Amino acid sequence: MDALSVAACIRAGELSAVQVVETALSAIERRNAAIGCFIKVTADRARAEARAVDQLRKLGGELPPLAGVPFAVKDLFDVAGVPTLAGSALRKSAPPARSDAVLVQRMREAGAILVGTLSMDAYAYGFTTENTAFGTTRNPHDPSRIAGGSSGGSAAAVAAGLVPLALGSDTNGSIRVPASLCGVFGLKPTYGRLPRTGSYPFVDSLDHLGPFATTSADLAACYDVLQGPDASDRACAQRQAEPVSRTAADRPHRVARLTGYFDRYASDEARAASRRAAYALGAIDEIELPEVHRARAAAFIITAAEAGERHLQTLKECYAEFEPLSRDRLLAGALTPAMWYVKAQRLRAWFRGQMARIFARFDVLVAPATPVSATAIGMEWIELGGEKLPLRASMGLLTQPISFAGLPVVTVPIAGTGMPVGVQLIAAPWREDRCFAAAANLERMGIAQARITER
Amino acid sequence: MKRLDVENFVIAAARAQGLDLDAEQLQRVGAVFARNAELAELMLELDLPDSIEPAPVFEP
Repeated sequence: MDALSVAACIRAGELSAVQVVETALSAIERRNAAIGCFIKVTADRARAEARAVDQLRKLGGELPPLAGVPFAVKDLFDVAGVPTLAGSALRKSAPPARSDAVLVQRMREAGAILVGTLSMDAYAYGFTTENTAFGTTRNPHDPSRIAGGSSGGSAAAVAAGLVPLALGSDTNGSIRVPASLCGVFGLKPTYGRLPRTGSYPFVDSLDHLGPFATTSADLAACYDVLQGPDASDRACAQRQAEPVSRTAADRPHRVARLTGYFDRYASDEARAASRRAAYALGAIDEIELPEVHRARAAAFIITAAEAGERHLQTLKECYAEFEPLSRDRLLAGALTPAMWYVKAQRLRAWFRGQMARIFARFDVLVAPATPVSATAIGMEWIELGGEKLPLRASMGLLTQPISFAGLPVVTVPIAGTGMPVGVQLIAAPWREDRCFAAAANLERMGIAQARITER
Repeated sequence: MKRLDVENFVIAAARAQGLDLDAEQLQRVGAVFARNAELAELMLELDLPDSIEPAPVFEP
């Protein structure tokens, strides 16, 4: 059942929050071993919060919008009383967080009930959620394949029907890639829209947080309760909430499909998905983004440099305990010449200007979210656009240039019978409403549909 | 522009950072750095107007 239906049933007294939470905990207990998405189940807390929701209803109090809806968070969000592992074995001895991350607090204020923390690539550096210390998260649609990453646990938990909502982070594609591969909806909002206070950082100048859901309406409802300024995150814009739940019926008028780079690095299935979505939205044009391959390169350099700098001291002291799949990337990043980093940030400012010109002509841009559908676990290389590329770094080829410009994106799962593949619906900064309008339209037409595995 | 001497740069930069890398580590890190250098070259090739300044706190 989707999140808004759960909330409606609880509000109507057709279900109790305790029943809903017990069902979720039982499903996690039964199915998590096969998928490997939960790291910690917060059962005691969930039961206590569920009892509080039921008590509030019994006393006739007004229930908040997500009252009784179970959710879970990527294991880089602080959860009071639980160590924030960020996918790293090195953090197993970290002290428990003293309080919830701001977004976890906001979910709680909206009545949602936290049931646990979810798997991820170590320190969020990866697109596959193959984690040497905590295990690989498997795709619920085919356990021999990856769930995508780095928020793989979040997408897999939603796709498996274990929770209707989850939170994740996206630096270069870490919400959009797993949403695409697991067949669920995901939102990467405008850079600076949602506060990151109380989350473990990866690349400060590119880090975003956002939700996953099984419908665009659930995604909008979740996003709406997460919005609002927070002075503790210096990158968080001091903007008041701009709710999208009520505007999602509007149809975007000027839609274009991204070609060139986005077609070159997309498989036939991913290209077909973007064409199908663009055609359904009445796309009036096909366009190429200027210097998009250089934009992606600059995002890559910023990521390497900032992540390398963050972990350099620990790498010096505990190299052997670092994730083998990313420790050499972190070390190489720590050696980044300053001129590369500065040029990358200048290119980012320039690219932002180019995108602003494009958004004077279009409301929504459509592009594949991933080059391919989920690949086999352990796969090292992939051939794209005639080039043999390292798979773990290349799953984000189509998402990286978009987050580099800080643009809001809703990733929608395109209906079909093979392995899922998603499409990015991209809008101008602060126009998440347009992404949601496009997503809701595609869902209404049956073009976008989440794939949830049998319980 | 003269290409960066990747191999010597990695050895010197690692030493300057106080990183004690053995030969195998140096080879692996060097391979990643060489890939980063290829990407860096892509963006360094693009001339930008002097008016374009980096923004440490990015505002879209």
